Amino acid sequence: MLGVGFGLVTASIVALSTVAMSLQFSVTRTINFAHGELMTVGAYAAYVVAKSTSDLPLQALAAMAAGAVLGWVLNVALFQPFVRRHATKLVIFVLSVAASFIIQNVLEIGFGGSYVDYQAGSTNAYNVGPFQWTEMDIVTMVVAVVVLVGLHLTIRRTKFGKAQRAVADDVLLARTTGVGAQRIIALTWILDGAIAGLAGMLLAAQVGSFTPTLGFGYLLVIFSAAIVGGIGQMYGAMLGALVIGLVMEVSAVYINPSYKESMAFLILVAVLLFRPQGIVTALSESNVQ
Amino acid sequence: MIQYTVTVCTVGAITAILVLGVNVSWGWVGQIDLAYYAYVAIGAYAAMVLELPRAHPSPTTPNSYILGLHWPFIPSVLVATAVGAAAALVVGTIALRRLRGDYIAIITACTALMLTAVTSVDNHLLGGYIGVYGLAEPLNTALHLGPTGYSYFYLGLCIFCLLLAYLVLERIYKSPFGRSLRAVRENDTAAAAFGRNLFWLRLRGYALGGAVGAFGGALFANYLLAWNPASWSLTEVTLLIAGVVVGGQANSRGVIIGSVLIESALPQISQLFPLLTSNSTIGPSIASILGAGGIIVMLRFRPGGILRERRAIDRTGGPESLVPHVPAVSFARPTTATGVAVGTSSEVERDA
Repeated sequence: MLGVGFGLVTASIVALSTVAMSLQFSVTRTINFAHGELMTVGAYAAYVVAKSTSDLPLQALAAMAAGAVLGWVLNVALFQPFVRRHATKLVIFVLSVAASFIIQNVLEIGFGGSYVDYQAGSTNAYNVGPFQWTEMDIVTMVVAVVVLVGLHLTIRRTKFGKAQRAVADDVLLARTTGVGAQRIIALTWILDGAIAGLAGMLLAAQVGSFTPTLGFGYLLVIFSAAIVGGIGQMYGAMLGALVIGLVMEVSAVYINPSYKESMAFLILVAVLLFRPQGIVTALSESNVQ
Repeated sequence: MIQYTVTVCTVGAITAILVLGVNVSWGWVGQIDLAYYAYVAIGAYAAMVLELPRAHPSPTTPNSYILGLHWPFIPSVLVATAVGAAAALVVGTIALRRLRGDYIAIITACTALMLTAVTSVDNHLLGGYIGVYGLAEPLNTALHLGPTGYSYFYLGLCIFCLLLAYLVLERIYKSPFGRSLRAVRENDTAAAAFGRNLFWLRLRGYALGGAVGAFGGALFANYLLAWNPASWSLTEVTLLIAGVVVGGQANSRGVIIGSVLIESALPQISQLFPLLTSNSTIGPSIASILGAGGIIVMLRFRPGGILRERRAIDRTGGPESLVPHVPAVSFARPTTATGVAVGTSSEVERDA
């Protein structure tokens, strides 16, 4: 049961990051292998702010701002010029991995390659039903639920969300009907960065100390969750994150915790083999042959 | 200084062999294969455990490894190559049957990370984190060379192997099998319409890449005389892939140039700036930033790479070939035939 409790906390963080990536993917149709770095800069921004204030909302705001700025820069400086030239997926892949290396190394120059300590929130433990959570664990889960519900409302109820869905469906059609696709894509990247940055801060608070490779090491877990849920599917991503988070933490109770991530990957392989469209599938589209 | 040059050249020759293998799965088949370094590692581990004598774990060195057959050098390398090909067949059967593009990248990356986890955690499979070590210099029991003479000999051996791999792969590239592979890469629907078995072709190409990787890995392990989980990571394979992109996808000579640039010249360039070398903490970071930045600039301004893939030529001759026409069996669509392969043929990797 302890494992399930940890699993729910891990799942909250994975869900935030995965949903952000799924949203960005469904709108822009490019896979960003530098997504982990959005989390990493969020974590470092929170770490810097935490030096001067222990105010948690301020740290979160800094993390989101840092992620949003990086998301915007990635879009403008890197992805847009290549997408406009119809670069292949292979090129986009190399490009985003190169970007991820650059960001990691810039952070390493700024903060050093060794672990930095980040303590956020209180570690007072509470027993909630069968689970045992710290205050920060509860904050993490509440934040995740609030953000995800907010995102759901944004996408379903606002004009911006409607425009996003239009661009995700068909960029050309959206453009001909007067949707400013470029602006929507830019805003999506900013939103993606902000949520991922927040997830990065929450992840840093969970692990306590981190290096510039924090997000890169987590990238494949996020991809696993995204694919298990059905890539580009927001609600699927949440479900995928729940499955991956629970599997990772519950398996760590029974077998060597070093195999935690391997268990997530095993789930991914199984899903790709037997249900490559993911658990949740939109009726109209399938992304895998 | 000469010794240093010999070291750089030996590693460069081995890297060139590895990048030729990446080029098969990436350039010929057109898949983002991140498990490639796992095949290199499999080849290296296989050669090591075949050549090393049986492990004797003791309280001071509790880690051990499987096999330990004490085989000679050449059969070990050959068997290691076959093991790499077999591993690629298994992974390829799972990864290539239904998936495309980014999904293959993700599933192969996951495969590599799972293998890393297993080899590092299990102390009695391949020596855990410490890895396998303690190999005697291969072939030197017969040659009795000194350290300097032996380093020259091994450099010669590596260059010979590189030439061998290059010639064999060039021959395969020009063979019907190589042509079919490129046809599948450029337009899989058309290739399928002409009766090509897409999965089987891709799988064979993938296994060929794995075999070349394992061959290079076996040579590498025999050069280092040790191998452990830190020797192979996603970073390594990304550098190799960058070599392919910068050098010129699917052009064997191009990718060799690219790999030499990325893996050998780049570290040397950073030596030229005293600012970088004097500060040991940020020097490597700046070198990495320059390297990654160089790749981005390269992709932006010369997407075909330094040496582009040669255009397909209709060699049938005859008067009709004087008239520009689309060949009956088009192995390359017009965009590719003019040489701008990488940047334009976006349909190749589309999600069907």
